[in-house]
This record gives sequence, C-alpha cells and structure tokens, in this order.
Amino acid sequence: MALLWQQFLASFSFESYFPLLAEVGVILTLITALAAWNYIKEYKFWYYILTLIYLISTVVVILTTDWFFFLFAWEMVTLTTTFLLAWSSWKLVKQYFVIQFTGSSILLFAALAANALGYTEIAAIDSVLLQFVLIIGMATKSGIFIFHFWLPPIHSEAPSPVSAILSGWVVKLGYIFLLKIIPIESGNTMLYLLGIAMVVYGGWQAVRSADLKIMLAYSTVSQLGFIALAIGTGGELAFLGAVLFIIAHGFAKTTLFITSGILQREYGSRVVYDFKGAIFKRPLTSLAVIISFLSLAGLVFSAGYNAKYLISSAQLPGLLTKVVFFGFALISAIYSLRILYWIFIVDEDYSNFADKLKKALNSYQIYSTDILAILFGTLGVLIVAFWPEMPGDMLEYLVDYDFNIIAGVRDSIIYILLAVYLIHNNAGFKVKVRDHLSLERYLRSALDFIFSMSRKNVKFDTDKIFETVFYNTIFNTSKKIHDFFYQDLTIQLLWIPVFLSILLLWQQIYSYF
Amino acid sequence: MRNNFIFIILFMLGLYALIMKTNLIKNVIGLNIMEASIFFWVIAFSDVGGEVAIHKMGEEFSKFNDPVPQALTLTGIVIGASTAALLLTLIIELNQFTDTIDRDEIEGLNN
Amino acid sequence: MMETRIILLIIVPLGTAFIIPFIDLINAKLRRFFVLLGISIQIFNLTSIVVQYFDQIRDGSLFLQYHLGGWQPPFGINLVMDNLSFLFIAIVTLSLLFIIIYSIGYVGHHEGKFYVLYFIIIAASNGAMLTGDLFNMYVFIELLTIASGALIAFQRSHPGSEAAIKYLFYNIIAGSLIFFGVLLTYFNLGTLTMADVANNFAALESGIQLFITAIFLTALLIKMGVFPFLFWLPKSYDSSPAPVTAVLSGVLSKIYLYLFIRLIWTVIGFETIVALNLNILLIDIALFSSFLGHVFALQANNIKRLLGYSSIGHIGMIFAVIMLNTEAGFYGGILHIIAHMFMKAGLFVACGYLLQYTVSNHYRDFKGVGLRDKPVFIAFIILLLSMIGMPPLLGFASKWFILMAFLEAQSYFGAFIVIFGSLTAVIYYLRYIAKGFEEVRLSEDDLKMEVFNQPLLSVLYREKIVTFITYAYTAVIIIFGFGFRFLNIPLRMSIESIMNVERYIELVLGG
Repeated sequence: MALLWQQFLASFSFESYFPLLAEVGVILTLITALAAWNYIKEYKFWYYILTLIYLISTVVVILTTDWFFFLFAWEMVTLTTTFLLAWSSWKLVKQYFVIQFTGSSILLFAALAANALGYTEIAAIDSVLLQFVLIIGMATKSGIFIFHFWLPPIHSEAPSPVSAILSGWVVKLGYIFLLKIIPIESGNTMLYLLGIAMVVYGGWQAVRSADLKIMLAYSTVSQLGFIALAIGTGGELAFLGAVLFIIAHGFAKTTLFITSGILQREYGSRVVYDFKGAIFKRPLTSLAVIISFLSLAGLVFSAGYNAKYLISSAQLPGLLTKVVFFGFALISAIYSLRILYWIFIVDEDYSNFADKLKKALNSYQIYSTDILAILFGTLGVLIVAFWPEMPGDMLEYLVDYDFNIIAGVRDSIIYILLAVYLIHNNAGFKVKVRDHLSLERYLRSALDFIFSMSRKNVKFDTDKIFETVFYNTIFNTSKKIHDFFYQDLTIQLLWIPVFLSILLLWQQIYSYF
Repeated sequence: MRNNFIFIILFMLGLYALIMKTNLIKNVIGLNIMEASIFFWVIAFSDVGGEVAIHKMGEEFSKFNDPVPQALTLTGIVIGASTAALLLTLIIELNQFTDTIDRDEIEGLNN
Repeated sequence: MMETRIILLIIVPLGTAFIIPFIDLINAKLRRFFVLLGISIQIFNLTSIVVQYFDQIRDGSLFLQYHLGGWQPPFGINLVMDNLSFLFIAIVTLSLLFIIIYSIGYVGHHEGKFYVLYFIIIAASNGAMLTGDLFNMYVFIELLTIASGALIAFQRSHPGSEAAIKYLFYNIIAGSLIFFGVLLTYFNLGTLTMADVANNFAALESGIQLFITAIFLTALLIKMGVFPFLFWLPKSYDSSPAPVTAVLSGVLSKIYLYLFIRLIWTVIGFETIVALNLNILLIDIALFSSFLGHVFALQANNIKRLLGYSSIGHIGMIFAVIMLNTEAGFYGGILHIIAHMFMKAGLFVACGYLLQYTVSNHYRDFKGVGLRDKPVFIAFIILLLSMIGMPPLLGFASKWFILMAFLEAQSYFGAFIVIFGSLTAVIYYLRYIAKGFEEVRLSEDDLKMEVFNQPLLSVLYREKIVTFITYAYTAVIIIFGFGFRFLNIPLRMSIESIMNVERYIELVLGG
C-alpha cells in the first residue's frame, strides 16, 4: 500500500502547461460550487462531497503520467459526474453511465494496448494506429464528432451547475489527454478533420436552437471542434492556442451555464424569446452573459480572440485557410450574437436607460453566491483576454507575442457587420422551439426510420424498449447462435472425424491459403 | 505383408455405427468394433513373423515378436470391456425412464 | 533419487477405494473415519514432501522419481514429480479435500459407492499427473473417465443417465484415440517413456509426427471441451450432483490441461507444433470456443448450465494463452487455472447448497434463493464477481495477466475475447443475482414438491459443513486475490520446468 502511494506521488509531473490547466480546473470547480449553493436544495452535503472527489480526481487526471492512476482517476470523474446528474433525474444517470461505461472500456483497451507496446508513461505516442485507437477511446467521453450524440441531450437536461461542470471542464479532460499523447511536431490529420466537422455541425445546430441550454450544448460541440482542430494541426503555436482555448472556453461556458440557470429561474423558461427586459431584472447577470458571448464569438479584446488567433496563425499560410477560418469565426459570431440579439435587442425599450437601471439596482434581489460566481467567471474571461501569458508568466512563449490587435479590430467589425446583416435579414433566425432533447427520442426516431422503410406504422413505448430491447436482443441472438451449433447428437459426434480430418490435412489447407 | 486397409474399413464401420445409427445399443457395438479394430491392428502390426519370446526362454534367437503391444492390448481390452459394461448399464437405466433406446426419441441427449 | 512417497500418493487413495466396501460390510459408521483417514494420509504425504524438499521447490530444482519394479526408465514405468506436477498436485489435492468434506454433508444414500468412485478419481488424477509413461497415462485417463462417468449418473435420474451416456460416448472415443496414438508412438520409436519419446520425436518424419500429434490433440480437445467438442460439457455439468460437478469442472478439466502441457511441450515439443503450423489454428479455435462459451452462457436459463458454458469460455481462454508459448502466457494461464479451479468448484458447491430445496435448476426457480440463505448467497456473489474479474479478487489478477500476455504477443483477438468475456459475464451473472433477491411466496404444494424432489440429499443435511466449505472457497479467492504474489515463486518455477525440456529428459534418463 505504501508502495502504491509512493508510486502515485512519483507519477505526478509538473511540466509545461499542465499545472496551469489543473489550476484552472480547480478554479472553475470552485466557481460552480459557489453557484450551486443556492441552486441545489436537497442533499447539499452529498453534492459537495461528490464535488470534492471530482475536484481531486480531475487534478490527478491532468497531472499524472501513470496509465493506471490516470484511468482510475478518470473513472472517478465519470462516476462522480454521473451521480451529480441524479439531482436532475435517475434516467439521465442511467443513460450517461451506460454511454460513459462503453467509452471507458474502449479507452481501457486502448490504454492497455499502449502500455503493452512499450509506452509505459503517458507521453507522446508515435504510432498513428495507436493514436487512432486512443482518440476513439476518448471520443465518447469528450464528444468527438459522431460520438458527440449524447452530449447535447445530457448537457441540456442536467441541473445548471452540473452542466457547467460537464460542459466547462469534464469534456476538456479528453483534449488535455490528447495534448499529452499527440506528438507536438506532427499533429494528427484525422483529429483535424473531425475538428472541422465538429465546428461546422455544432455551429449549424446552435444557430437552429431556440432553447438557451440546448444552444449552449451545441456551441460546446462547436467550440470543442476548435480544440480538436488545433491539436490536430500540431506545432507550438497550435498547442498553446488549444491550451488558451480550453481555458477561455472553460470560463465562458461555466459562466454561461450558471447564468442560464439564473435566467431560467427568473423567467421559468429556457427559450431565448421569453427573456424580456433581462438587463433591468438582472443587470450583473446580463453583463456576464454579454462578455461571455463576446468571448465565444471570438471578438477582439476577449479571451476567445486570443485563442482563435493563435490557432489560425498556426495554420499553413494561404488564401484557402484564411477563408475557411473566416467562415468558422463567422459561424461562432452568428450563433453568439444571435442570442444577444434575442435577449437584449428585440422588443427592448432602452429609453431612460440610466433611470431604469438605477431603479433596477435599487430593488435588486441578490443571490450573493451566484453573483460571486459570475463575477469570478467573467474575471477569468477578462484575464485571459488581456493577459494571455497568464498571471506569473506561465506561458512564457506568449509574453511578448503580438496578437495583431489592429487586424483583430478590423476583423471583428467585419464579423459584427456581417452577422448583424445576416441576423437582421433572416429575422434573427427565428426557429420553432424544439422539445427537450433526450436520447430516448433519438432511439425512437431511429426505430421509426427503420420501420418506415418496411412501411409499417408502429407506436413504440420507448421507455420499455430502452429497458428490455437491450436484453432481449442479446438473449435471442445468443439463442440463435446456440441453436445453430447445437444440432442433434449425430451432428455433434460428426465433428470428431471432421476435425480429425482437418488436422490431418492441415498442411495442404495451410499451404493452399 | 501387413495390409492396413482391412483395419481402416473396420474402424470406419465402427465409427459409422457410433455416429449415424440412432439405436444406443448399436452405438455401443460400434464403439466396440472401433476399439477392436485398433486392437487387431496392433496385434497384426506387432507380428513380424518371428519367434514368441516366452517359448524360447534362455535360448539365443535372432528375430522375435514384441510382447509389449500384446500386453498393452490386453489392458486395452479390459478397459474397453468395462466401459462397454458401464455404458450398457446406463442405457438400461435410461430405458427405464424413457421406454426407448432410440436416440432420436430422447430429446435430452441432444442438448 | 527414488522417493517412495510419490507412489504412495497413488496407492493410498486406491487402497482406500478398495477398503471402503469391506468396511461397509463390517460397520457402515466406520466408513467416514476411513475416508478422512485416507485423505489425511494423502495430505500428510504431500506436506512431508513439501517440508523435506522445501529448498528445492523454492529454487526450481525439485525432481523426484520412482521406478516401478526397479526397472530403469527407458524400459520400466516411472513416476516423476517436477515443479509443474508438484504445483498441480498440490492445488488438485487441496480442491479434492474441500470437495470430499463437502460431500460428507451432501451425499445421502449409497455414500459408500460414492467414496469408492471418488477415491479412484483421486488416485487416477494423481497418477495421471505423476506418471512419466505414455501408456500408464492412458490407463489413468481411462480410469478417470469411467469413475467420473459413473459419478455423473450417480443420482440415477433421467437427465443424469443421459448426461453420462453422452459424456462416455465422447470420452471413450477420446480414450481409444489416445490408445491408438500411444501405440503408434511405440511402433515408431520403440519406447513409451515420455522422456525417451521426447528425445527421439523430432527425428520422425513429418507425416507420422502430424498423425500422432493430430490424434493426441483431438483426444485432448474432446476431454477439455474445446469448440467442436464442447457439446457434452454443459449437459454433464448440469445433471450431476453438486460435488461431482465441482470435481468435473474444478479438477478434471485442469488435469487435462496439465496433460496437454505435458504432451505438447515435453513429449511432442512445441517446435514440432510450430513446424506443422498447428499453433495458429489451435489458438484461433480456442478463442472461438471461448467466444462461443460466453455467447451460449447469455441464453442459458439454468444456473448450472450457465456455469458450464462459462467454463467453456474460460478453458478456451486458458488454452489459447498457453498456446502463445511465452513466459507471460504461461504465467497468466497457470494462475488462471488455479483461480478458475477454486472459483468454479466454489460456485458449484455453493449452487448445490442454494438449490437444495428448489424444484429444478431453472432460472424461474432461482427466485428468492438469495433471501433464504443470505450469507451463502453473498459468498456466491463474491465468487461470481471474481469470475467477472473484480479487482481485489483472484479472478482479476489472473485475467489481468492473461490480458497482458495477449497484448504482449500482439494477439488482439485474444485480448478482445478476455474483455468480451468479462463484459458478457456481467450481463449473465447480474440477471441471476437480481433473481436471487426477488421476493417469493410458496404454497403448500410447492413446498412439498420442493422437499421431495431431491433424492440425493442426506436426511440429516449437515448444513454447517456445507456452508463452511463454501466460505472456505470464498476465503481462498479473497486471500489469494490480495496476495497473488505468494504464487509467484511456484508459478515461475513451474514455467521453468515447462520450458526446460532438456533438463527433464536428462534427469529422467540419466537418474
């Protein structure tokens, strides 16, 4: 036991940007813990115990170089976040657990394979095949394209502080792991392509959402795409960009999910069209929303701008990449500004702004912890925006780096103008309010699709299907295989001469193939 | 001239009776024919046309039949007899439950 | 060096088996005393060997011989005990001791006959593992077959006799094949001593080599229940009484695995197998067999059958990992042989207790079993978790080593099968655990039917003994799960005696 403990302590590595990331993780968890104080009403004690375990495990995941402790700690993260979902509903817990368990087993297999192939510590891995297996392994956990399907339903249905944890930090752990294993020189092309797909798909879905939390979940997918793309590019700049992006997005998304919780309670709705007069009802919250969304949009003087600038300057120079990245940035600008448009601009009366604000501030009901949390989050965004080298010069490379602010201002203005034009012309991309997302609906639509091909009209009880179809399929399939091999005794005994002949003729058969 | 052909035919006959016949008693007979073919083969193979060692105790002779395979075969026959006896007992017992010795009618043998 | 005690390992149980009927004639109550006496002498013998040769066991140079009738090896029959056979005899004897104590509580009528057959199994299993002579091995294998065949039908029930007939069909064919193979070897090499055969086997022409190897392999695959011949196994595990199933699964299959290692590595030589290109075929067959075993287990509606299917899965896995012919493979394989021996025997023993009052072994009758005997059911669950591979238990350690061995040899199909086995095991075991905790309400008729359904049960069911044995198995699993490093030295040493064939040949023929 003592040996294990020593091994555990020795496995920590405090090199390059990982201590910084660990710090950010701790700060974000503390912010959400503050915000949860008012939000979580029942079993507060257990909530904070779980948060504490989660906090320790994330630090271990980020800092350890030993496969065993890494896997163990990540399982702890998964378990604690799974149980945190219980404050919403047990159905979510079950679904999340099944999905994460599947992901874990692939990851476990991949890690064992890496271990067996001689990578005894978590470090850069040269074999492309192994990189591929590891990427698939963490794909389910970190919502890489195709495997992201669970992310919007779970993140949008979870309680707000838990969404903040999940979306703000848990999904990033996979990318932090990739930062360790993808060699900095070469990057990984598949990851790059997946990243592009995520940016486009997530962005498109975010534009099509009317529900604030669903929109935030899809924007998470889109923003994670930038990180995947950056890691896939390879190179010092891109990796620093990814680190900065992880931090920036972590702060912004945590703040946004917390504010979405506040707004939801204030208005009793999650649809963006309903938030009327938000700025007078919750001035500070609104300020945080604005700052965070500007950061998501990647406008100049925000955290997102620095990160995106680093990533795009790491790409190969050329017109095509410029155009493509311009498009990506425009997508995030559109879905961010669209929400700001719906919350703060449509049907708002800003005459006598100062008076109304003063009145609002006077009759202001304070959720002190929420406000504190929001302030911290916004502070984080601003720090990344103005001191990208981080307090204490933790990213030395960026101390004197020129972020080309002038061009940034120009680009931002272009984005804003284009986005405003597009939003205005398309009436704010107003879409119908969708139902809440759930994995069961996905299953139902998949089944409907299959049955529609056979032209039958069947109504499904999806809850029951989710419970029983799984087992019955397994049972019936194995029954069929069993019956196939278990013929009557004559056939069973016939295997003996057949097998003996195969063995005797094996030389001929072997040489034939 | 030792011809293996006859033993192979005998072996195949036994195997056929064991596998393809549905009567359990016939299966046991087939099993015994199979074993007997191996025994015949062993005895025939060990007969090299020489002297029988036990008849010429203390004398010098150049060529003799190896006694070891015969001893081994004796053991084999004993074992074959006991297994056949056990099988037949079990078939009688099964017959008391099922009133048949046809393999096709006894479902339990298949699974 | 001649060591008389190793032949006593065979003679004492054989003698006990023949004394018991006479004791029965005098006084039936003395019987149990002699049973315990026999097994105690066995244990004492083994312990004295361990004590005397402790240093040699530790450094891997254990080598004891006994020449029957004083004939030197190439001509006479010899018994050999090296590190590999010592390890197997030790664990087999321990397991047999547990099961015999259990059967004192379990077997009711015809107890004397049961012990006769049981002691023949003890003698034959020790003999099969000790012998250095091919024909002698065949005799002991046949002895095992006949005794176990009779034990399967011991319950005199309809399914019991069916299972025994099926079992005997398969195993007698395997026996005749072994007889044929042994005599072929004799005609080609003029010797039956394993060491002498091993010395000259490589000189044979490859057609004969293939013929002999194929015959032995087919026979052993039938005996172990690997894929094309797995059909007798679930039936006989299901229909025989609990201690017999524990012997079949816990002891016999492991003895055949031992004989497989002996024949392939010592006698035939792994290089021959590689030269005949059989090793890849065998690994794939074994892994496929393992896969089928786990898939079949998913649909089993009968707990004992289910355990039989999972036995197929585990034995296929062990077989494949041994066939890798690497040190890691042997380490994981033999560790899993030990683990599986104790887990499966413990599970069948626990099953025998849990299913004592139920109408059948069917899934629906498993209802409420866990509520009736909670402590035993918890032990049962612990054993199941070990089968799945939960970390602090022995099953985890052995599966881990097997997984590492597969990955080291870059056999990803094997690694997949190991993980697949664990995942499916979770599914099919959880179903039964959940059923065991279901509330059940019995009517008067049900109770009557349940009580009179099991003819084998002793009238004075010795509950304490039976539960004690279940706990003993669980304790072994937990203790070795924490301290599987204790097995490190015996495992390393037995691997060395597998790999170092020249030393075996030299010691047998030269000593």
